[in-house]
Amino acid sequence: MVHYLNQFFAQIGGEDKADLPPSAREGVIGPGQAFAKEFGDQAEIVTTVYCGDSYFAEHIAKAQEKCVKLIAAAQPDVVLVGPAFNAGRYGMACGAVAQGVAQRLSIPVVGGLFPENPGYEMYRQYAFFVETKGSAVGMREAVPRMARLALKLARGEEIGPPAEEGYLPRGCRKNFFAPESGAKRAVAMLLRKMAGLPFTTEYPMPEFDRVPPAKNLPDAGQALVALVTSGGIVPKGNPDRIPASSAGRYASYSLAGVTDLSPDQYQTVHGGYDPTYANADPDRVLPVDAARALEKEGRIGSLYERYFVTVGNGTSVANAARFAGEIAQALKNDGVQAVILTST
Amino acid sequence: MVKELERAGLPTVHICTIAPISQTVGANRIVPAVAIPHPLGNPVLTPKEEFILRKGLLERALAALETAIAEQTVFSDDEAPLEPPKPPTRMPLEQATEVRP
Repeated sequence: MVHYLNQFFAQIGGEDKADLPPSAREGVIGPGQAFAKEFGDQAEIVTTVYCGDSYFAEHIAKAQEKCVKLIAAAQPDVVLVGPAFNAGRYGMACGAVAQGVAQRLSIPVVGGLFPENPGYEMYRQYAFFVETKGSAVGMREAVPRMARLALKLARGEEIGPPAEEGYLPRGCRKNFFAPESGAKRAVAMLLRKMAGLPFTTEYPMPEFDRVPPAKNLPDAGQALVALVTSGGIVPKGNPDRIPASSAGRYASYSLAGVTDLSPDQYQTVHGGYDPTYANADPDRVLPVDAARALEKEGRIGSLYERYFVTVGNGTSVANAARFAGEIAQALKNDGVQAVILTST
Repeated sequence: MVKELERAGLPTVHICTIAPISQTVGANRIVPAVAIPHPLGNPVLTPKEEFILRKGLLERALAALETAIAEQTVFSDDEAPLEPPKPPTRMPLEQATEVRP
């Protein structure tokens, strides 16, 4: 088998090494040891391929191609990716590696993701992704479940449906002969439903949570425009103590009289990227200086007097939706007509 | 967040580095940014060049807010195209579900 890891789990370094291009090493690294223990003498991780999270996210096609090449060289029977839990960049990387391996090498891939990880929605059909917790505390549970599926695939055994085998649905449909006809199964299901008993649908309706685009501004030069960021830019000292990850709150701060975010007065508290560049010039994340210049030129009617901020790092979808619902209300109450939201 | 702001009727543009994530989550107006640790800047440039870059991204964002769209749209720079973002795969309804025995 070949194992794909990010720079952190490959023990190269943290955010300071997130720009590392793909490379490979013989044998196991980090979580690979836990897999090796599970595999015993039934399988072996011969190569570990790893890449920095930011490098991958910023060069998806190139990183994917290189990783597939490195993996192909080891001629594995199965490829393991992650687990990446709810780490967004890492999850996307695991998904992209799975896509490349599945499409170009036709080798099965097993991974581990938290269901809200965007890598799952985007790449779910390319791997068997075991459902994990949101953070690495879920490693101990994830490894044996991934290992079991990987061994099954390595032996060429048939993989059953998601609920039975413990992986997240891949959006694939498989034909089979049911012991009873559809009419009988439908009546049985209806009777359970009428009796208030639990039942499992054979055809869950897909959820399409799409919002139709809001109407465009006729002219931004006449509009009140607000800045919002998930990049964690706060006044120095983080007065509202917004957490560096899994934020349960947001804050808003005045921009009255502010024409430029100076590093003496603002900083980032986002824990998911290297803060060096944002701390040196916070406008790189929350572009107040350029927005003020455009306001002066008349390209923006006026800039709303406050900005809203949270940290988008492992933040749950439910929290993010709640924050934005409340922010939208506050902005609309003050007559804001459009929003520029920046993310890292 | 972008989606909820739009749901409330506020046209919202998302300036972000990983456009495919924004597309997957469902933002409607997307402007791809520079890099994860500095979406609206680039430390290898001079401060003046960086300011021009940042202002340019905001101008593109304003143009996005002024554009009538019917579906998700990525407003990218034609001269420096992104690596092709893969749109989220939506299968036809008949293939969209796992079927259990």
